[in-house]
Amino acid sequence: MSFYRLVYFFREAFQGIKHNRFTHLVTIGTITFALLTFAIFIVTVTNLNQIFDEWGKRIHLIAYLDKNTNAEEIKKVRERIATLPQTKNVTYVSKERALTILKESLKNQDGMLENLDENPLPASLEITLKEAYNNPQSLKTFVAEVKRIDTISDVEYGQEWLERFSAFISIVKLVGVSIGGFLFLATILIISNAIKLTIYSRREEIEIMKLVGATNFFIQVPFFLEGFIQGLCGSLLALGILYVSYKILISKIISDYSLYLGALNLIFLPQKLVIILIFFGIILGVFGCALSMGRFLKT
Amino acid sequence: MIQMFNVYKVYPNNHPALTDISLHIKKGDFVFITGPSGAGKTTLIKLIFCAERSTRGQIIVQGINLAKIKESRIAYLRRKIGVVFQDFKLLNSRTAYENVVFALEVIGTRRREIKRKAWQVLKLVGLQNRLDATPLGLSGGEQQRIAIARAIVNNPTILLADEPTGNLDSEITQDVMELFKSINDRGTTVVIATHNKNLASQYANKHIILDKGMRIDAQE
Repeated sequence: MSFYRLVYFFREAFQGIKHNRFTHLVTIGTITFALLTFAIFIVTVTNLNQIFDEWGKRIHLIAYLDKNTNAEEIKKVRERIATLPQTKNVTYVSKERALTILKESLKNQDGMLENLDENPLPASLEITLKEAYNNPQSLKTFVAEVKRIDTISDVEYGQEWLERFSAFISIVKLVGVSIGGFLFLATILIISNAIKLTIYSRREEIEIMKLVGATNFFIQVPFFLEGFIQGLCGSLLALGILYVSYKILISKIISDYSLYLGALNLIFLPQKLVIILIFFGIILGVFGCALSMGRFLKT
Repeated sequence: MIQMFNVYKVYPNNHPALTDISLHIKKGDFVFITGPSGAGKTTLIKLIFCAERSTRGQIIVQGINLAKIKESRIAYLRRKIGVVFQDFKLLNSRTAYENVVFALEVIGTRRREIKRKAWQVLKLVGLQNRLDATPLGLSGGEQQRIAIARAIVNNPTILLADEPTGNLDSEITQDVMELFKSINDRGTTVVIATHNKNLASQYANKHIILDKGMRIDAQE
């Protein structure tokens, strides 16, 4: 294809956009909206998963030992738990150690503990699980197993919370997928209609092109380019909006809630997904165009 | 140049537009197709440049059998046929010059050639001073001249015109007819469909008369 033809195609495409600004804006807006919804969903799920994983890694089970457990028994229990397949690590925390930790965490308020006659804290075993078992179901099984040990008085972990969070992620995923699917279809329909409008408004041009012997290829290329440009603009706009919102949100969260969330690391879309999203936008634009092109080119 | 053998055209609503039409138009002919409205003049013109396909019969244009032509080849056939309409079919958003250039651009003509050809043809139709006017700023006669310029800019061997003077007054009609005549004198076969019999008797070297889709002139 000669350079001159390429210039012609691009010029026609941009003129088409210029002449039908409103239709094109609506189409670009639709693509942006659809992709933005989709991207927000992906970012949300990615981050929730990330948070879940992060917290999962930090899950400690604390198994409290009966008051009268002697050193021999403690050693036994510890070994028994260590041999369970789920266990990654078991640390013994003595009564004294527990008190020291408490005192440290209270720091300036340790006066509160001065009048204690006796250390009220139980000795405990801190257990971390292998990552593969960091889900509510395995956790439950594991806890049940540990509880069966005689010298264990109680096991503490964020059970309910974990279950709720995990259920919440599942719901988000489900809602996201269904909304995403709907939007995808709706977008293609809207785009194909918008391009139909563009084609309709340029039917005289197309008629004349056909009259003077332009090939279908020559007639179609500028329209496909328009679809391509729309898709590209739509996806870049969506990514831009998402990125700015993400930055604002991040700075807000970090300044306001860092105390509670700790070293929480929110991530933007992975690079691969950014490329996929742009690609997706272009597909939307071009496919929407193809859908409405055919019938206008019949002789 | 154009041959039809027992051509029938029936539209989807079962309305027969043409019935058993045979004709032979030779290179360099100046042909008029006349008849009352609804006689099938427009359909006949459309069949020649493949805007409609015949229901039955054979049509041969420049050695190509239109009954067998592939959809993708139609574009190339049309580059050898110029067409002019009663309503001009100009793009009102483009200037006179751009309207002519458009016809060259969309078939991939080289830029340098485009300038030369467009200028030549606009000079031929006498509009070299109105290049920058848009169709709405031009008279009907001038608009038709642009349409004719556009139709012949690619040097077609056949020029078809469907009621080209239907929207023009008689004086302008004569001017436009003279233009067709001069194009014909340069060797282009010209086929004009019109309800105006007087024009036919004035200019035609071949006169085809249609009525109710049938040919009623004395065939050779």
